[in-house]
Amino acid sequence: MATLKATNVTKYDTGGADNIVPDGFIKTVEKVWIDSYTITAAIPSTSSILIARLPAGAKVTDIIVHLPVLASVSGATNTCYCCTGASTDITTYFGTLGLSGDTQKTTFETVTAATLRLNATDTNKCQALAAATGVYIMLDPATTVTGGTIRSIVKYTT
Amino acid sequence: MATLKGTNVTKYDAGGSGDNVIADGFIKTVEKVWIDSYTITGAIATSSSLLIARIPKNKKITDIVVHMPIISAAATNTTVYCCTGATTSKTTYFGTLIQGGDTQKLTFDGGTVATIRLAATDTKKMQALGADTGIYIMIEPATTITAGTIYSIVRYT
Repeated sequence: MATLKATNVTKYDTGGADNIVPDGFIKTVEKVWIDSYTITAAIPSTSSILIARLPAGAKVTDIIVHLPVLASVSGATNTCYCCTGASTDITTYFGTLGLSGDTQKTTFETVTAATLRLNATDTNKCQALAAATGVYIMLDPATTVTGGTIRSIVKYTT
Repeated sequence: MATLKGTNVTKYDAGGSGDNVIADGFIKTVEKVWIDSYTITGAIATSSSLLIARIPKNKKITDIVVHMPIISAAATNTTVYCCTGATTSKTTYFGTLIQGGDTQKLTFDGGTVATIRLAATDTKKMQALGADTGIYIMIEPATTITAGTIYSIVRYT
């Protein structure tokens, strides 16, 4: 039976100065940035909501967004993009949040509440951020309701 | 309305001392994490286990999350077993990682990315480990894609 070792296990088992595991990867604790945004008017798809500010070197381990009802008419679906800057260019976003329970399902019904979280496709997770970084979400299409609260939790290590 | 109490709530309410001492790491504690990654450079055989964390004795595992890249042709039903040793005997594994939050979905399409995590069926979660323990995953069937990165997070107290 062959054993393949992940990167940090390899360094941990090998030891020595060349194999130091940087802070925030093993035997560390997660921090959280909990935030909320009270919807008082429709949110256009040209607006990004800044839900957390993370320091340089932070490793994002999870992003969870609890969305209220975003539309009053059933049948509409929405996508929630997650990015590191305020932009409407979807290609610059580092991932679409997945519907909790099925992270491959990146669209969700807007007439019911939904919990979204970091998707397997995200390429920035579990890696040290090169600079202090804002975490933004952008909803597409625009919301049509003018009430409710978006609650978010960003988990990371430092 | 009757109130039933969890084991540790019972001890806590009873005073938390003497016969009711609550062991470290169960209440009012913080989770630690072991973050790791494995870059796929060749097909991973089912006779290979990937060691994703080393957890000390007495720790309590609260979650295991593995983000899988595309590892197979489309529509390949894939299972990831999680165990405490490098072995090909599935009966010794302590759980099958499940997709998302659906604990009945024990397989996923290896032809798409997938997030899998500790299942309700695992019998070792949230219990003190008897010894220093390695956490391994075994992928079945063998992968056929020779690129991509597996990211994993093991949470414990």
